[in-house]
Amino acid sequence: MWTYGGYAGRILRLDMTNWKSSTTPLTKEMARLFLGGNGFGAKILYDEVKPGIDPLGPENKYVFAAGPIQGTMVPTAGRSGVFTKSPLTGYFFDAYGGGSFGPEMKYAGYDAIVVEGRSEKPAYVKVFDDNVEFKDASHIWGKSTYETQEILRKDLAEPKAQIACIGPAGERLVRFACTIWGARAAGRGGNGAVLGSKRFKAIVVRGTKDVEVPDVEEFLRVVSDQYNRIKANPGTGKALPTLGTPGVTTTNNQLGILGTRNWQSEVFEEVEKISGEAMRSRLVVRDKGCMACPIYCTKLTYVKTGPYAGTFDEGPEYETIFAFGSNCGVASLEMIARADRMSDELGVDTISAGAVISFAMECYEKGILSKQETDGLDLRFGNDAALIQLLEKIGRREGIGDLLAEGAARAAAKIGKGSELYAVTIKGLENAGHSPRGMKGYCLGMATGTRGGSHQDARPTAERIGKSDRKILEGKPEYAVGTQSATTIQDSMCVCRMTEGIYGLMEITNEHLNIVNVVTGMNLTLPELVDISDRIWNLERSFNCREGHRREHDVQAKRFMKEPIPEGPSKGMYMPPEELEMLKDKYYDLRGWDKKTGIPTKETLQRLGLTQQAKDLYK
Amino acid sequence: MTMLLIAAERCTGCRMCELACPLVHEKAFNPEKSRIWIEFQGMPELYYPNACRSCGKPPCADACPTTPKSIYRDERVGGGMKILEDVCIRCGRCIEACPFAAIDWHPAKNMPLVCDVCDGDPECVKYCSPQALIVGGKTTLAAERRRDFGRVQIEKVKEKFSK
Repeated sequence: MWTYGGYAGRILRLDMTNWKSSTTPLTKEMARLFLGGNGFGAKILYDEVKPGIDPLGPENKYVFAAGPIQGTMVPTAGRSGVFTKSPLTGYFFDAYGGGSFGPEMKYAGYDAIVVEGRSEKPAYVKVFDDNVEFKDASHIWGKSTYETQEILRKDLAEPKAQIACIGPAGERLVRFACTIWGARAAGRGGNGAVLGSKRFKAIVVRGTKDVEVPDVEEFLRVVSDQYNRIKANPGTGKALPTLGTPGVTTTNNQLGILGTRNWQSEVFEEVEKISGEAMRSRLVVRDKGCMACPIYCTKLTYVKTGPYAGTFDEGPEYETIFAFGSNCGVASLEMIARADRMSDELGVDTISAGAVISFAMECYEKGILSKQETDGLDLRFGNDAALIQLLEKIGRREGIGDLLAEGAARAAAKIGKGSELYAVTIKGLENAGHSPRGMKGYCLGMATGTRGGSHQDARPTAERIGKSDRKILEGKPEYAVGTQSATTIQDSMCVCRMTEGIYGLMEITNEHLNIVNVVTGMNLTLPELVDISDRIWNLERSFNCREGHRREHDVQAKRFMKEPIPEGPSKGMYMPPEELEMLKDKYYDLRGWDKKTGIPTKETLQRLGLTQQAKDLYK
Repeated sequence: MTMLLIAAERCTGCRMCELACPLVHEKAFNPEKSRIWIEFQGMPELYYPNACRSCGKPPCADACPTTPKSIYRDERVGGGMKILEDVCIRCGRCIEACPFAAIDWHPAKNMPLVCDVCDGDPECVKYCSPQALIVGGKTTLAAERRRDFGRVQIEKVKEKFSK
């Protein structure tokens, strides 16, 4: 038996077709080559999901995976990921959430849980340490994610169980449905629809086993040092604990990069009404931290007066404020809190949900969608009451909600009439709340990223805070590679993005290395850790290339390549296609990818030990 | 005086205490073996931290039927409870007697599981980011809580000015 610290050493497989479970050992090789989380998800999906299959068919798989640090007290170790072929993009997709689910999975003795096949009837799975049971879920099918968790906790008399589940949106195969545990969401890419297609309503996990590290004294030395630096850092020690991520709302607006009215502008004139400061003074009732997190960026909010009175919400956080607020032209934090809570209960990704609504609003204002087509909803920007009604329709696929539940890109393809310009998506994924137009490196990183419209592959932070000049092109291919590499390792460990300022914003550092080594005892070197990151990134890329992804698909949303930002401090900025192509040349060089096709070269794949991928892509 | 004190309304529910505690006592991460707990309830979940209060006249010790008492206050450090593992008859009367539900049961050792303030240097306090866990005497807790209370009252006065 091999021993690295941190790992549970087993992978659980749930065959939903036959209601049978099995476990396989986690091999030493897999831990050393792919580290955890993101790496495990990519490895399992590449090996086991055939190209060309329907993401919503029984052949697709869905993986819950934790890294070596889950279950330990490495700051932000509450996080874990889910991995599947996305029904939105058709590519490999990873999404992460905080809370306590990942650690509980480790205490139950699993590094990853693979969901396969399709159940005949709605089912949930109970995993208590080694005891795995499949159960009929007809009594919770149709229930919200909150009701589902409360019912299962009570039924099973296990108040400490961690439950991951889908809501009505996942059941109805809304293409941006998510997985919810607690009030945390593994939000993006439609993983909830994949579970829905498998008729997998929930998994209840309870674990009582130990997670160990090789040297407790050394571990405490390294971790307390990092903990103290997190507390001393003005961002993680002060700004995030006080305002949470909503603090970014005003910063982005001041820079003129706050997506507004479906990205027609990037300055929101009523920003002070939806700022982090406004939220803190009007709505916040309590601070909350995910497991093992000293940063507590989560804010519990309560709406006391007005049409949304009585709303009790975990959040909203910045992305949700952008998505339902500025980008829909709504200046009511109270409505945003309501929409956030509804999204969690329905089980939809707030970013994509907000984006399809802002897309519909622009179509409506430009006369592409008539009032008849919107089921009588007056979808002007800023109409908060209509937004709430439309969100419910989307989550339940009713009326126009059925069309929008397909995501903005597919909806635009059906609507036509030039609406494609208003679908602000990258690789089919609705753009998150950071401006590709206003940040050149981030823009390139998204275009070349595995997920597309996600702010979690390449990162905007270093450009936003001025550590890298966001307006120039120089050094941006390196920026894209560096931030993508760092996020790949963070997602494999898995630590939360809130610690990126501690670990290093633009590259893999000794901070990553020290934590990985003190938890696992692998004694990796920095170049070896960089290789792990490159291996995982190229594996994801290989997955996508096997699905037909090529250089021409590494593009930005049409709007960002065509329309300059019309006003404000970033006026005139955009990404003309020829500029993007120039950056891509350099980026492919740095990555070791073929400039013509965008496929990793044979040499690159072989250098990283991805020999099967080299065979598959160069038949 | 070295007691573990809890200003519960500051807690963020991060469970760092549930991780640090078993690490120093059991050399492993496992909230099942923690001597401090955060209870979660409802959706979205609310939370409440709990641990031994280092009572000056501990009801758990009063209830203990053995001679000598197998659960006793650690007077060397002025707080925390110690267990005489050889004397304890594993009856669980201490669990029944604690008015704060702050004694658990060790799943492996089959023995009461209660805070011993790490013999005077509680590890959990070092990782309590919102400073809900405090170390000191009861006057320390009183002063901390008074400060929080005062801050809230002053905020209320400020609100009146701004209207």
